[in-house]
Amino acid sequence: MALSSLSPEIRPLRRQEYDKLVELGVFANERIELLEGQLVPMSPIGPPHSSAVQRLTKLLLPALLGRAEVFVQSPFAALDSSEPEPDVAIVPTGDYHREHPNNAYLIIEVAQASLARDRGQKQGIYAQAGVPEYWIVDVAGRCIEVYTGPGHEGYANCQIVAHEGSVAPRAFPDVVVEVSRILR
Amino acid sequence: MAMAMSEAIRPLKRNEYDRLVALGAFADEKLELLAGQLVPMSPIGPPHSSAVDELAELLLPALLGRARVRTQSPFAVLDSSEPEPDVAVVPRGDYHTEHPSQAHLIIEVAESSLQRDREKQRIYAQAGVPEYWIVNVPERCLEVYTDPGHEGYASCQIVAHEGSVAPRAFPDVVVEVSRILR
Repeated sequence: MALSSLSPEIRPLRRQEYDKLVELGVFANERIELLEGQLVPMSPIGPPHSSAVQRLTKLLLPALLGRAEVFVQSPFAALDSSEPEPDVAIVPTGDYHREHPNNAYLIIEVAQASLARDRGQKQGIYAQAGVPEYWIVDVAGRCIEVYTGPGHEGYANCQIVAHEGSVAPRAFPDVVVEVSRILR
Repeated sequence: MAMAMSEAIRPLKRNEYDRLVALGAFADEKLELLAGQLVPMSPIGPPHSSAVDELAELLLPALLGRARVRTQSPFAVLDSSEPEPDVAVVPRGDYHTEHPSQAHLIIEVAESSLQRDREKQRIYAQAGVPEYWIVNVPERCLEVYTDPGHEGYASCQIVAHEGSVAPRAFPDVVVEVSRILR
């Protein structure tokens, strides 16, 4: 058989199209992110996950008051075809009433069921969007993975901070986060 | 380490796609919604459009008053698909507010889209379209698919260039392959 055909390419759904559907209330009863032009259901959040997000918020929000905004589980306008909802985004102070932030000092994902996607697809998205620093709080591994050196292929460096260790965002070196304060 | 869940994708639904179409989101693009994904349509070359013309010219008068013959129009197959088949022979009715969702026969003319048209056969079969033809331009034949099921059509018959075929629903409407394809 002469199969000279192309494999079916997919036209990614764009962020602005996705935003229109969101505005129309189409996804009102669903937890969805737009990742590389695909609608991806978000993993349900268990207690260790929400507790880690809460502890991060409690620590970061007062420490960064007046210096940066701390967005919790809110959309981030990463790329033309991606709009993830990271657990925590530390973004420049500003007015985000009309547009989701598209710049961040630091993005944090807490990973329980979502570890593979947070390390793979999302790591690539945040790096391509030029987010200088990305943390994955690994609930099961009881550590924080710190990614730096964003590039088109992902982050160049990954450092593992163990449960007894601590880490500070590069942009705010005074804001020290002890891993044991975030994870049991 | 925790095991990751499989990377499931939430298909775009037909009613969501239709709303974006209504908003003009895809005004400058030729797209189909196939299994919840936006898929660009192959550009149409002269042999392709000529085959569609011949089919329309043959089927339209022969089926007048018995069925509608739509060319390159959306077909509302499943919850997450809205292909635009080259020819759809559909029951008579008013399709002013809704695309047809039932057909006697769907025909795709395949020039560069052969692989995809063979994949589409599953979509049409799942939608219960009783008969699906692929006009295979490069091989100068017609593939006739019948007996739709959840996995696709159970039967495929190849009609050669010198042969002819009639839709099961309209056995008097004989289509000679050589009239459609050079």
